[in-house]
Amino acid sequence: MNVEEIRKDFPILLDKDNKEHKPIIYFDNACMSLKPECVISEMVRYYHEFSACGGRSIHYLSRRVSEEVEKAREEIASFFGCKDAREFVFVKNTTEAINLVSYGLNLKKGDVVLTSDKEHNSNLVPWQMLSKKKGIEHRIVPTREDNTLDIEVFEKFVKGASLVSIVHTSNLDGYTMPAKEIIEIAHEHDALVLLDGAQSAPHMQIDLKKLDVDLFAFSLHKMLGPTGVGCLYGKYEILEKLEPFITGGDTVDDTTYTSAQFKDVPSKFEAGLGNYAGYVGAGEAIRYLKKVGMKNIREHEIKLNRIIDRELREFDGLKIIGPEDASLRGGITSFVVEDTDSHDIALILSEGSRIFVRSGAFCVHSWFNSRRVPPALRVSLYIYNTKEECKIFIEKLREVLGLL
Amino acid sequence: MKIHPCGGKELYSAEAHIEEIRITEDVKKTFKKYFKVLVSPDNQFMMLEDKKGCRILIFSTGRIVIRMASSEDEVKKYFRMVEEAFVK
Repeated sequence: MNVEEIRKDFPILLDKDNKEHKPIIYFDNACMSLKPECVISEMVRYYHEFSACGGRSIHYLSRRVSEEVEKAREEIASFFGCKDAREFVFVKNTTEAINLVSYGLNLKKGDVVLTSDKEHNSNLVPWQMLSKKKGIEHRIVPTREDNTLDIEVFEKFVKGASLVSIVHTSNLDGYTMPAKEIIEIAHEHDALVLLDGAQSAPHMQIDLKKLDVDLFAFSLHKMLGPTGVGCLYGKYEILEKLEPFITGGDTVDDTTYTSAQFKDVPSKFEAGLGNYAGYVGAGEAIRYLKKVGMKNIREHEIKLNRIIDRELREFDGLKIIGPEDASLRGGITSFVVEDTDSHDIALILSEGSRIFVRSGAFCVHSWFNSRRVPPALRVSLYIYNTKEECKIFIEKLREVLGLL
Repeated sequence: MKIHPCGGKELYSAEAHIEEIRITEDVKKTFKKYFKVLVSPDNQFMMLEDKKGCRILIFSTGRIVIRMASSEDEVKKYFRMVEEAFVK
């Protein structure tokens, strides 16, 4: 994997039109990845060549849109080891995918949904809402002190659950749950499993069929793709039973004044005019990732994260969140510095050195509140980050902390 | 300048851009009368902190961030002070 060559594909890193500024160091990839030129061009190609609506009209342009969108869907399906692209529903993002499941599964009073204690708000609030509205039981399995999951504790908590909706890789600390074991145990207890794959899909090779997961939610904007495109994967037979929660144009084959005949999966979920430019851009992003290779990406991130981890441990009063072994945290290192405001640090790094890191609770407020941890800083890496950038970050962080 | 609540308490923050600024010895001296003052060695960044914990981050790029102010009026007052010190 040639990082210097990869960097040339990302216009924002080249800084061609902005000579007076220092180049950026982008370490906020858990929030959003940067976009390569080919993805941007692919979206422009839609607007230049076939900017019509798909799935409706019979004319050439409309047919072309449908073909291009389905090609993107197939690209995404094969990326995850799936043959049937119909198992991938286009949505806006992971949040919408999880909401689709929460509304569409038709859970009833007393049904149990199990999550972990370190879920992103996107996989917490929907279940809290269902708990209030329908009386489902939202059960939370605690993780260990270092945020890893004790599978034996999980097994105790899963008994009686209808659904396990759990983060695959945590945006809080980068730790990846033992998904295979979780799924096997959940299935032994007749529970479905929904994985929040927002942070795993961009960073590792995932074969959804081998994993045997029932539902999997992810966002393309963290995978070099455009904003506003995500996917819900579901086993076909599960998606068939899942009810759509947004209905309307293009979700139905026929209607009367009192009834509607829904289309098949995935169309019944994709209501209204789609983000076609986004879908074809997403397909291109997936092609790019395939070309680089997910194993290479994973190894690269772990290598850089080890450098950051090693250096950060030399700082006084700095505490890293999550497992001690950096390789268990993929490309993420979150930390707090005693008596220092994380937002101040992030602001100074941004404005003074054009180093962009995340500060705050990373949408996992519940974990921060329960463990009484102050807002933290998060470094999250991706394919275009370099050793040199890690060294500069450490150097600048040292300067900032020396000042504060 | 947009003022909004921060920190989940009765605290306010705000952000604004003024023209590019120079953090000079005179400016530092002025602010030291009212705040605890921290300045980066390269004079590219300055942080002012009042006794209640409100912080004003001033960057040479002209970006001004006021955090943890105890009232909206305090935000406005501090911003005026910064403007007066830098915008002649």
